[in-house]
Amino acid sequence: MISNKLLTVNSLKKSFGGLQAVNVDSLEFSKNEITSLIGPNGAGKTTFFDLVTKFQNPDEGQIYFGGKEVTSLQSYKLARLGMTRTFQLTRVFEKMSVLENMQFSGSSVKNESISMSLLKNKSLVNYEKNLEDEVDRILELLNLTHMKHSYARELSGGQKKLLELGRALIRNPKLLLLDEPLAGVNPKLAEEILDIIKKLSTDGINIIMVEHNINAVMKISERVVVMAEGKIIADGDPEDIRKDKNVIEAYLGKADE
Amino acid sequence: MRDYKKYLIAFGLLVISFGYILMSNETGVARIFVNLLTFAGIYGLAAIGINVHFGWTGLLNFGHAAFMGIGAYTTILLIPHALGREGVVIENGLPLPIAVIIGMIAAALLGLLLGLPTLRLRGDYLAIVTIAAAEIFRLLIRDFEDITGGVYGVIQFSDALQDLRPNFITNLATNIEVSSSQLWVGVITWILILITLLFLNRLQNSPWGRALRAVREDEDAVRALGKNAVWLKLQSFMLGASIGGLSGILLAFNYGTLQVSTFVPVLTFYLWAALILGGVGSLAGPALGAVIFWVIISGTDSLAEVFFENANGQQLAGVRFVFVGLLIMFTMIFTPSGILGKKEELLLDIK
Repeated sequence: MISNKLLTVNSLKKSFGGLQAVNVDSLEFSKNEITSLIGPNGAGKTTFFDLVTKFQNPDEGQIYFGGKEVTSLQSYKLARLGMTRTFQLTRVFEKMSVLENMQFSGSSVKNESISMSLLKNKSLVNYEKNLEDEVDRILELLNLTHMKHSYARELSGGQKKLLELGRALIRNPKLLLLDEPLAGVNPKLAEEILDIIKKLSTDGINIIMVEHNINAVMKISERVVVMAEGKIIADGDPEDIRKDKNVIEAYLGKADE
Repeated sequence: MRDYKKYLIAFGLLVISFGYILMSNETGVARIFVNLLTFAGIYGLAAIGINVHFGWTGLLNFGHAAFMGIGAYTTILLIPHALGREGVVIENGLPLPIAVIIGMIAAALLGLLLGLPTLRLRGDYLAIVTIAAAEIFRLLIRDFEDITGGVYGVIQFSDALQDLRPNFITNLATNIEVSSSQLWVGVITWILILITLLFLNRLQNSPWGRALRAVREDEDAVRALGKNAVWLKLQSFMLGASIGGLSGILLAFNYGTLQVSTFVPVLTFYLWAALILGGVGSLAGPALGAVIFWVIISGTDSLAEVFFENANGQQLAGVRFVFVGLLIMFTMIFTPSGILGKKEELLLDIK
């Protein structure tokens, strides 16, 4: 029952003091979909991301990923299972080059062990070379090739978003959680990022994104989940959501007030 | 191009410092130089350990004296020595190289012990815990007199190292009128610095070094990319601690006696001064910073006499640290990444 779903959460709860930040009864994400998570500010979207990726521990509830319960796993172990996230405020390694950012993300844990690094034998050199080829391929896709050897902090805000996306991609994730991939990005670059997200989805990567740009959300998503005050208030395809009374109320307030 | 300029400045500073010492001392210049370079080497090696922690991984370690201390005490107590108030002689012991390796492992294990509970928390906690742990360590050494000699310290262990001294060192020392035992410690220190730097150079440019830099930049991002940030920090902490342990052993051999008062908190802060002067994050920076630090410490008394004619020795000693403080201020203003540090990877950017 659970195994054909990619990600399932059950009665997931988190509160900060008196504030119930997240209170989700049940939510399932199937394979091969772009799902957008929208809602007014403070609706608990980012907290929901944090809980699912185990950057914060839920007070209650269970999380299943690929049919396995992962509620008690640490975030890095969850990431190794194929769940990769980006952050609302971009978190690139500023004092490392674009290439190093990508190599670090793509490198296997064995490859960067201290013993392998000391030996520096042929297999490590080969591994690093293949890794760089892979980095080149992704930088090409993201139009970042010309910045390969620049420090990441020299990138523009939009380029940093791209680098963060690239850093997630090189890990070949099963599920990509994007926290506001279009925030602070100029319209032209936003189009580019949307195209890339679409392409990734056709390549078989599942995507859940939090985004405030409603036009972009409606254009790209196959499913939209709306949160308000920690709860799911609507869930369906974009057309239905557009007409949903609860959603309009959550964003604009009640009509009769 | 900028790199070239950086090394020129470093070279210039060394020439000025050594030139100054040559000018200000008429007799016993060789002795002063050997003393200075030996201490500078030992401090430099210790600062290289802090650099692995802070420069590579972003860990704030303010208890390096404890790592030096546990390295020194473990090694010295494992080789033949005499102990405490009565000077109880213990003739049996392990061969020196094995004792040194055990000493370094002990330092690494202390690093593990301190790191396990604190490295999961935010950076500041490590700073608090290390500074406290270093004091606890020192007081324990002082109070367990039966094992450690307490305030009376450990003596008569130098032979383990001095027996290995080749003849040409002894002859050289006689010719230039310096202490042969200190010359030998100095030579070994700088050889060990070279080996350590070669070893670290290999690591810095490796995938492991890259992973540490990523941890330094942003642990959350590291975690999101499936890497165990805590384990990487622990490894770095243990490596830097063992380098500190090695330098502590050398410090004991340089003094010829092992005193608990050597490993006071201020030692750690001298090392930080050397690290900041030389350049956080650069490989050779800490060693260069330590040399400059020691030139100031051992050479400025005569300079101070120019300014303060009637000062006594104790007052003059205080002036040294005024100079150290001024130099750190100028470093922070004009080249905040230190003499050999990379501007692009500036770590001490206080905004």
